[in-house]
Amino acid sequence: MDLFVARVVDGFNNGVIYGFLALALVCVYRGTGHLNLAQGEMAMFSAFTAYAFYAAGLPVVLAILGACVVGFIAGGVVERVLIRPLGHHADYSILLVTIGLFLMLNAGAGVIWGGDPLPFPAPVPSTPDDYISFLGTRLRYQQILVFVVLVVVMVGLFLLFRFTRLGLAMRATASNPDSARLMGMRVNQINGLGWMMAAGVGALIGALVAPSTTLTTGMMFNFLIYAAAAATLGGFDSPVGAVLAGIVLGVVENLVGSYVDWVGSDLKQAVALVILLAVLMVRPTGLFGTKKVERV
Amino acid sequence: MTLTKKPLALVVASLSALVLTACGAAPGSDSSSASTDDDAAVSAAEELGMDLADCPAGVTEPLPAEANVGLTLPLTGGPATAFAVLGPGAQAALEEANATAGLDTSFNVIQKDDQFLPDKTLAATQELVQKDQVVAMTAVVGTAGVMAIRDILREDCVPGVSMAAGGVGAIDPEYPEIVQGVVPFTLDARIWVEAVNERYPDGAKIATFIGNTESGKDYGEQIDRWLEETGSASEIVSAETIEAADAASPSSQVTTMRNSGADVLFAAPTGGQCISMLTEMANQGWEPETFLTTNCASSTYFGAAGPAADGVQTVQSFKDINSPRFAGDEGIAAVRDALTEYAPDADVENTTTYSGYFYAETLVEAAKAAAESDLGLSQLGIIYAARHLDFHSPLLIDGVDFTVNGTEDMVPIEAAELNTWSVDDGGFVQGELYDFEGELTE
Repeated sequence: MDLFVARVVDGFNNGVIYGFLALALVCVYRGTGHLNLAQGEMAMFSAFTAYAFYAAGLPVVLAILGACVVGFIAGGVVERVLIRPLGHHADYSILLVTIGLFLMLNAGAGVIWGGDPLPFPAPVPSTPDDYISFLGTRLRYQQILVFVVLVVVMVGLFLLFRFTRLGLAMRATASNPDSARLMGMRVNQINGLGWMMAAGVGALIGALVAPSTTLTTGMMFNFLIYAAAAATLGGFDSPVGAVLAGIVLGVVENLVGSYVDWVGSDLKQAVALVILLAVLMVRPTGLFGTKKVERV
Repeated sequence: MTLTKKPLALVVASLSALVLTACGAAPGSDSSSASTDDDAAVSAAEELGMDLADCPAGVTEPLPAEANVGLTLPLTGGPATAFAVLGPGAQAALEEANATAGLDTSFNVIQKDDQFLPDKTLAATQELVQKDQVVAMTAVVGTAGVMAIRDILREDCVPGVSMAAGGVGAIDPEYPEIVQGVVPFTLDARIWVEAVNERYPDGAKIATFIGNTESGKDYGEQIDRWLEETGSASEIVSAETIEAADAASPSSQVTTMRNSGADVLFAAPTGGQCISMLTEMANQGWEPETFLTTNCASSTYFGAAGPAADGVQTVQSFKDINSPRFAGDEGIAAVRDALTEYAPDADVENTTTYSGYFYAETLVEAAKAAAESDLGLSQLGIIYAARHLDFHSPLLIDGVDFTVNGTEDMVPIEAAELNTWSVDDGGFVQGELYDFEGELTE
């Protein structure tokens, strides 16, 4: 029983990370209707930025907050300089730009901070003795912190999208930018805000997972694949759906990898991709996504 | 009313774009064959299992006054940050040789980017061999990359001395042109097994945690090999793997290994995974006797793991330039001086820079030995000399030599210390020297 609980907790912790990054993907998609493939690398770069602040002498919490601010601003700059000139309907061009951004940030971080893995401190006590026992397994303070922050951000985004005029405007511009513009909405600014929010959320997750992954330029690549699967499973326009799907994905993947011998650690990633494929075939909008209605 | 298909199209297109890689072209050769009446050349080739008739003309001829040496290494992409510094290190060794070795040939280094992808290593090597007419290759990184190019080197009889590849693909008697330049994984595995056999005469329960890579495959096979050949009473009770790109903490693998009841862990993950594995083990309170891959045997990895690395053992044949033990080492100081003089841009604080120097230094040693032999400083001369090299680099730990003997002893580095990381000492504590000279070739 203890082993089963430990495996569920292991999967849950990974799922929280998938859900967190998926939340950043949802921010961009919900605000602009686009998929940002550079989201993981933006998070990675922000984590390195937090490291730079920390190395310069800032307390780790301030270093993380500073990286979030820098990430928030950088997200706006990316949208203004690289995305907006392509126009709102250039889906595939924007996709290619985000791949270019992915490569640029990955190489840039390596040039600036080098190729060796760097240790990054946790904002809460994180020695081997810093945990709470739960059904025979260990819930580490750092993992609890990531989950709590995720819930706060998720609820905040849910309230923003659901109950505010800004959220309504973001949904409108993502759904039909031309009509939204005719209604007097400042579509470009709203798109920019979507990118800024996503970059800020990404910065948070990058810096929060760095203590367990160590800082490397490849630290977010695999997470991005899982996050894309989570966002697809939960629905690209549903913050709550993306988070729940991320957690479900993490737990299912870990249990299947642990208890199905022929899957094991080797094919764990395939579990996520099979789930992704199944969802796309059966319910393309995801479990919690909204169906898009067009007037004909 | 329609359902949007945008998420489907975007996700499929995106993931495809990120994972697809191009396939490499098959190598070709347009050279005419070598023919020679030189008994020494024919004899040398036969000893190595080479047929000179299959080699291009000129393989037995003296090298020109200026000759190109090729390197392929990642200069772009993620791995570039770790490996690009090999180039200046190799450059320094060859420039130093040009200035001081007194050879009739001066070497120019030509580097090409392979992004650490075997198909690109193949393409870059084809260009180096066919267009740039390199007389030798050195410092190619990774077993998979070496395996991708060894047929080209064989076809054109180009020496590959010495390669940064620890797998068995770099010590294959079918490819005498390829000479390994790192601690072989088989030595790692042999020392781990010998240490366990000594400490657990009644047998231990072993867990393995190995990267799902070409190197990892070698590790698994070599651990099995030495457990069997040494008649070990130990058994593997848990075999976990990890994908090379997986940056997540390996919590599920550690949970499984911990619950297997293993007393000993043999671990060969990749790069930063060495750190996250040790951290996760400490977090779960799992403290088996741990042996960690020589690929992570530096202060960079152990230091970053903090207290979690205390007591972890690793195999070392090379001096750790950042270790207090070698703070005043004359050999390291001499190489640092050479790097400073002949490659001013080299990062002299980076261990990998010194590795680059060592690979090219080995090639220089082979060239010097060839120049003094009956074969002279030719490509065949370098291949033969490299396959019979016996020297001690200033970067190797005392008691460890670079020794090979034709195709009978293909493994150059067969001795190493099993050292333990000490947090209190801030470095590795010197352990027992294991010497398996001449015993590791399959």
